[in-house]
Amino acid sequence: MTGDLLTLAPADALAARLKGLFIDRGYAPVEPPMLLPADMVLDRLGEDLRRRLLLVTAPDGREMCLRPDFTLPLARQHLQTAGAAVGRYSYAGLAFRFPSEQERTRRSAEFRQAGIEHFGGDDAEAVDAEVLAATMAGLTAVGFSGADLILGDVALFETYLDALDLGDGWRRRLGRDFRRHEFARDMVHRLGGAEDPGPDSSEQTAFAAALAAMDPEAARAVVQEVMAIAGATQVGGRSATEIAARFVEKARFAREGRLDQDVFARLDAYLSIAGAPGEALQELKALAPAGASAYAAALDALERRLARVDAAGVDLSGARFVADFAGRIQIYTGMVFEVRARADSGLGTIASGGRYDGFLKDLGADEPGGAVGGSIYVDRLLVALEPGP
Amino acid sequence: MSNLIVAVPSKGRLQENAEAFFARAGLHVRRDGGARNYRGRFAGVEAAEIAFLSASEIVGELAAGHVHLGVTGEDLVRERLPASQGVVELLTPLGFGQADVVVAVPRAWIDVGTVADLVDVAADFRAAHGRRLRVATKYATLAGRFFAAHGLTDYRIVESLGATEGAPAAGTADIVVDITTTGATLAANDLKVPDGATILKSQANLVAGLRANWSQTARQALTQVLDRIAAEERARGIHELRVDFGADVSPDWLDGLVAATGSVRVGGTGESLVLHVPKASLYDVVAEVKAAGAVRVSVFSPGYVFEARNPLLERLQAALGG
Repeated sequence: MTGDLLTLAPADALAARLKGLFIDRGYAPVEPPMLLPADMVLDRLGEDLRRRLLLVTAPDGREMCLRPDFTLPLARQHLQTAGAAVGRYSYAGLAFRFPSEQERTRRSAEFRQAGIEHFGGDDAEAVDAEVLAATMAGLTAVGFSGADLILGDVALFETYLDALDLGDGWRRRLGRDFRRHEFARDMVHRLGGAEDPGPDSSEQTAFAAALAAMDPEAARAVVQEVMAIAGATQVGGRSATEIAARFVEKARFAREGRLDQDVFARLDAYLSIAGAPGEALQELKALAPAGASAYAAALDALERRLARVDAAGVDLSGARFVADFAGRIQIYTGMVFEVRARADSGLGTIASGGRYDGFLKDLGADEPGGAVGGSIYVDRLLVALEPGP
Repeated sequence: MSNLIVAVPSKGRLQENAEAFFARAGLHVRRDGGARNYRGRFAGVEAAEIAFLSASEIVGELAAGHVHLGVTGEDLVRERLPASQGVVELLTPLGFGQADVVVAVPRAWIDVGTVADLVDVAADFRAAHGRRLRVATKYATLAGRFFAAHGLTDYRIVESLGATEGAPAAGTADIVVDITTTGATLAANDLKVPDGATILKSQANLVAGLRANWSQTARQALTQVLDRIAAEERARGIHELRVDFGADVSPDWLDGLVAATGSVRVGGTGESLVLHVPKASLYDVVAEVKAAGAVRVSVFSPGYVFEARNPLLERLQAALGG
């Protein structure tokens, strides 16, 4: 009736089977709410998702939304019922988004997901490996093979940035833009290349240049005073202090000029690393700046994670570690992974997940707690499992 | 009902300009029953009817297949129908109703000079204020697309029902995405447009609705309407020159002139040539032909130039699938 390519029963059966496998591994089944406040969804997952959401307006005028995935309603439910305790949950069922233009497996706004979420816990490394292994085991158990497993690590890049001798301005911008996957490499090239004049700003006025040479605090005070004289009031939710501080920071950043060529080369080298995990690890080690202990520690953690995952029976022979991979949504803070179907299948991502610490705090938890999840797109998996032509 | 239905704005400058546009092409709008009547017709085109609607209603009616043609702003089409292929076809811009859809921020944000600055501010906004940057707008689609293209994801749309540009001062939003003509309203609200923050340069367009009932009758009426529009547009852009030489003219030299100025030879034999010349090239052509020995150049402005091929019609026919 909806014109779907798939009939209802097989997809539901597959989802239930996956959930059963996750239950066997100690993830308690939950049925989180289907309806959420739209505000919460847009706040967490971003406005660019808005057009694909199924939004409804309640009689009292509140905007509600059918869950676009399970992570958000699950996290909220965990907070409400278990608070700071450890939560290990499995789920399977419908989520709701209008299909994007690239979507090949459905025309309706419903799709099925199955997956796990792990909240809290002390041994982050163990949890990372466990969630990744469990997700992969689920796929293998239903007979899925021959796909690309892409691995990444957002925290590793952060430690690498810390270890390079970047000015404050560069450190902030590169760290922030790394999560916007396609912008990270663009930015490094755009702003570090030989022919580029430097940071993206309008002409550096004499005023800005003078400010850049002053003590930052004094500079900010000067700008604020000038703004007060000009009658610029607090408009649009920012304060004069904030505007002045950024004006000064911009001036100083412009003076920093482009990235030091050596630093640029190191960043480029890092972002270019992509290959079998063992080899990638060696290349990452070779890039280690002298005395970068946090980076070395993060590399060791990555190595241990890979060993644990391997020991858990996950086939890493076809896996690739991609240094500039940060996941498709901007919530990840550590490990991130994605299982992609073969390019010629047109199916795209079959499963994805990673660590997104701080998510619970954003939802109102008192303490920042660990959060790791893995999620499978059941409809696409079903198509991928069909015998080929 | 198999007539061609044309949606025209029902009031204001858009209505005046739309009627003037049609009148210029010899399609005079008749509103039987006076200004309160929501139906009308073109004098001289039997199988066409006019529906007077608001500019925003026109987009909806085109999308629903209730009207065949409409005069409406490109901004409204792009906002309401982001995936317009197969639904509507913008046939030609009309030269009036120009306005820009822009991102505007408070003038006091002296640290924001470019869109990149805005992306920067948005990214740090939550950490500084505990909430995302709020954008007041009626153009949620256009704004969303623009922001996505620039890597700006940390924001929230606040749907604006009334005066969008007053939202920052009122505290209901931090920045706006709005349409502006002179910029006076922006300035009056202490807003400015950073470099690169123009999302769309819009104007009124003649738009075809691909889902309407394109009956034989409708198509015939359409041909009449579009032929007149195309003929007037073609004529408006050219002068017709009759060039008298003392003797026969060399064809090679003529080909060179044609290529260089975009002129077209439309007639003349022996000692005289008739050319259609783009208006901007008039004096260049006059100088050339005089240098080549022309004795006299007479310049006319045709009212219409009808040709066998009508690019507007072809465009629509292609979109309709022949």
